Amino acid sequence: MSLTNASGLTQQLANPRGLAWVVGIFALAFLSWTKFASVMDEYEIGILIGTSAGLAAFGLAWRSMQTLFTIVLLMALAGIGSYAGIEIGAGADKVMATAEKAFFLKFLFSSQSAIMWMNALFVLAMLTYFFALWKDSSFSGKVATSLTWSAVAFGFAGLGVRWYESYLINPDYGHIPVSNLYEVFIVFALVTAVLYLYYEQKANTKALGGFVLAVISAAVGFILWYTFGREAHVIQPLVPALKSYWMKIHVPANFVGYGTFALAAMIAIPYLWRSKLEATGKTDSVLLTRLPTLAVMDDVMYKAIAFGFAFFTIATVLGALWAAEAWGGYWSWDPKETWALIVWLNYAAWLHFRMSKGWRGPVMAWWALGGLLVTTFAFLGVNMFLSGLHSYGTL
Amino acid sequence: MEKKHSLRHHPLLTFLGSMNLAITLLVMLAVASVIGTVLKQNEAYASYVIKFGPFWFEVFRNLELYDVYSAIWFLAVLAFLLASISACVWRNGAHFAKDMVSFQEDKHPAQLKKMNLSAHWTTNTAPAHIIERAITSIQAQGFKTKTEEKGNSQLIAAKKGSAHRLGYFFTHLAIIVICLGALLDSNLKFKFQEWAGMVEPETRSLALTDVNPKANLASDNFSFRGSVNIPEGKSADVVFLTFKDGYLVQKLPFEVKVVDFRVEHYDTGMPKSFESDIILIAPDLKEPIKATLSVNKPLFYKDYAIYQSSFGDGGSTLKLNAYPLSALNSSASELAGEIHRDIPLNTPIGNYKVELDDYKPNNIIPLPEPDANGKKVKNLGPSVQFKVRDGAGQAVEYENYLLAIDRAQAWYQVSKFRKSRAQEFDFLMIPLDTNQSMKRFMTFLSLVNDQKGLDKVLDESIAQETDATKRDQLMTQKRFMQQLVNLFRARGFDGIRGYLDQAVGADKREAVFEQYLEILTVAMQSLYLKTLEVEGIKNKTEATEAERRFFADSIEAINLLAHYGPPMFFEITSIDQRESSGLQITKSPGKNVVFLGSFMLIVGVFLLFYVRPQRIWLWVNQNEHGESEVILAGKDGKDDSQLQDAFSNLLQQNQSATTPSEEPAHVTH
Repeated sequence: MSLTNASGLTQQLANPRGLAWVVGIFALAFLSWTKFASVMDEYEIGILIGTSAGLAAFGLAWRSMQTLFTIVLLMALAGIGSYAGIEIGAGADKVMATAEKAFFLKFLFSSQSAIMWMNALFVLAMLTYFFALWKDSSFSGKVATSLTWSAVAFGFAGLGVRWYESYLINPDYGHIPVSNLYEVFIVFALVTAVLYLYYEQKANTKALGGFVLAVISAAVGFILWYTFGREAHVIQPLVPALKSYWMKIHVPANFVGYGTFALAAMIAIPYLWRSKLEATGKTDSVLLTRLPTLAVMDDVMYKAIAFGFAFFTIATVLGALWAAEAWGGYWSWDPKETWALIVWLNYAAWLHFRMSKGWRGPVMAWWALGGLLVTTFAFLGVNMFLSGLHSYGTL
Repeated sequence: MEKKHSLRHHPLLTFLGSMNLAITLLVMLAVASVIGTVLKQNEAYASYVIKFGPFWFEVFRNLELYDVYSAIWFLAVLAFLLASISACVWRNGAHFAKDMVSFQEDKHPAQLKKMNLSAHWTTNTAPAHIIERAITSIQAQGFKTKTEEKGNSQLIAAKKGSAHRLGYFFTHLAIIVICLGALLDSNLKFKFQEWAGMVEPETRSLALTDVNPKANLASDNFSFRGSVNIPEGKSADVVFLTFKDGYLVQKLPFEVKVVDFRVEHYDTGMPKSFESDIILIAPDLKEPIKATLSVNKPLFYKDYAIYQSSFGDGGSTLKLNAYPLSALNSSASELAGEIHRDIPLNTPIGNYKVELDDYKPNNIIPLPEPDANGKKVKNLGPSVQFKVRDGAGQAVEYENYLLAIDRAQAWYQVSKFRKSRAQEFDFLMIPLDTNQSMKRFMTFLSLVNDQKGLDKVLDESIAQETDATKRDQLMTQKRFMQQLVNLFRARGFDGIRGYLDQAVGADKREAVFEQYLEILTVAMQSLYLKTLEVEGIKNKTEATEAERRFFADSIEAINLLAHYGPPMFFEITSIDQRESSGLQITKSPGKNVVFLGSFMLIVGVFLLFYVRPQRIWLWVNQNEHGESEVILAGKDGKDDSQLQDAFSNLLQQNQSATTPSEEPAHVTH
């Protein structure tokens, strides 16, 4: 993802839609501030301003973001509005009963329903993408893209409503839904999907959709098992160590990293496939006409990893800053920390080989694919097999 | 200059600064880190011995695998990495810096023509006009320009995104800065001091005054990270640093007093927050500092940071009743104790030590189904964890609940116990009588213990039997009954089974066991009726449902007593809680260095990825026909396609601005 240069943003700002977008975002931020200032500390106000600026810029750089945000906002408000009958702190039972009764909540916008829609739509999108690739159907490709967008909208709306539900259950419980393994898996699926949609639009790579959605569908599988097998979807209060504004920035930044690394790994699969076809001289394969060229896939892989690496660096530094405040030291060699370092070292090495030595081709693609194993272990394996300070989601 | 140049190409530096070495070191670092996460670090050495056996324990210890991240070899890898990065910066730095500043105005027309992005054409427009127009258009694209004249020709050299090279410096220097910062805070100096014989960790848990003097660190130590538990109302001027298989005692230049400690809980029983009111007293402070610490809200004082990190018991005092379980009377003796202290017990059956470990004010457990109030959890109330250790050093671990616990409308006194940490806890549930007391059970138990009494009780109960043949049968079985009761009391059902395993063939065992059980039940029932009689419940023809259940529960409890450890039961009658606050105190001079490095790293990464080093050249030469020959060329780091659009723009603007001569423009992309 190339950061659109400042002049590009200014140009966008000059057109009425761009201006309306920026004004709208900051108006919303102001509204939120007037409503919630009493419960926000100065850091949270800073995060609100920073998030708004980031969102405004993102929307200017990528128009589709504007549409997505507006739809998510409306969906989440519909969900929150449907809870109008009960008050903050009403308790889990009342929230559940309302979610079961009100039509909108039951079928669409309670956090559970919305997340289930997200799950279903992601899997459907994957199947449709593959169908489109198989049949070379551009219509099916468009349907798949729309399904992915819809899944993303439901997912974000679901998280938004879940945030509100946590306060409805008990103001003491209230927290942004990025606090445990269940919640971050949803974040992971959403971030990966949004990043994919960005590249799909910029590089016209619908043929890659199925591969990327496959890793998202795997995440969906985990979410389903975690929900039905372990009841992990139940909103739990936060442990004292997580009660900090840092969580709001550290966790999402991390998941931009995880999401892009997963995205790059999944693109490595069609890359390897294609390079094998080309190497073995099977020039008559239809896949060669349907899959993007190696150069395009290589470029998307590199851009994704570079972008993810930058965010992963930020996330790790934010983590160190937080640890210095909560655990008494910026680095404790906690298993999660250590694995984050391993992931960082892995991609640092990958980027060195590409940037300094100019390495391309199957080796780098295999490496990107292998990176997913390292990333998955850092993200999931550590919680499953190792214990430490970061024990916020166990299996 | 010549010397420096040769130094830069010294084979050692070339080796150190090579990327292959750097990547190898990164991989080694990663692998070493994996070991540190798989093998639990800094545990008690004893637990490693159990895990690996004495041989591998020694091997791993020598490899310093129990504290990988401060192992000498790990630090050596880090040092090599630092050397490698430094050599890399040293080797490339000057070249990169020159490249960053330079406009590369020395490019020849032939070189420009060979570039991927290059176009040349001839025009009648005067060179001065072309140059003027070109400078404006190139600068409009955000480039900095420099113009050079060489005889008849002029060259505009332009560059943009030189900060990309800064990104290289920032990222690589950042790693060096971070490592140096971390070095300041590492325990390398302790390792050195230990090696030099100045420091030696203390492995025993002792009173402060008895600690090995070599484990004491003076208050001028410039960096440390330690922790201390301070009971409410008490103060401390030291922290404990874990080091190797023991600890070091770090003296502080101030004193911290914990005035009050508070924990708040969620309705699920999870702790919601914990905080301490503290007073910091230092000789150079006029007024002591009063502050409230909580998780995520430390107190910073000078170079020190004080964190709320944990909580525990700070020596709650308690009163207990000790019931002798093998005695012939059911009276208890009163004891007093304090958490974290031992109570010595000298009894007729030997000397014991009761080690009071911890007091838990709440025990919240999840319920399989919500209760009548819709609550999904239940608070079993407070409990005390303790060990009873015999003269030989063998200990059994217990956790006794203070309050009676109900199960299906009956009440019990509950005690969890296990003989080794590897085992799960067993639950001893002593049924309570109608007065909610253990009296009936203890009476029953003392009758079971009393062999002579048993003889009498059996006689009485046999005498009551009206059926003569049955009475005779019982008489013949009497001795056997006594033996069975004794065996059951001593070793439980397992004892009876163990006896049958030796005495009876496998095919008949189960049937015989059933028979024995019936006989045992008759005897125990007689004792139970006697118990009720003692209690004043007499001449009952039929036992109530509750009494039957009490009997069954008692048999179950007595069965477990065989495994319960030393024959005593401790009932905690009262407790006066005193909490302690776990504080972590650090002095971390490297912290800000590390943060500076981190900041450099982030800036550097963004410069590297998102600033493109781009260059444009425009060369104009007036030939002998008075025409202007123009070359426009461009370059973008390693990926010229990123400059394509800007180049095409410039080409269009500058070409259209000139009146073409006959020769058509020649463009290569």
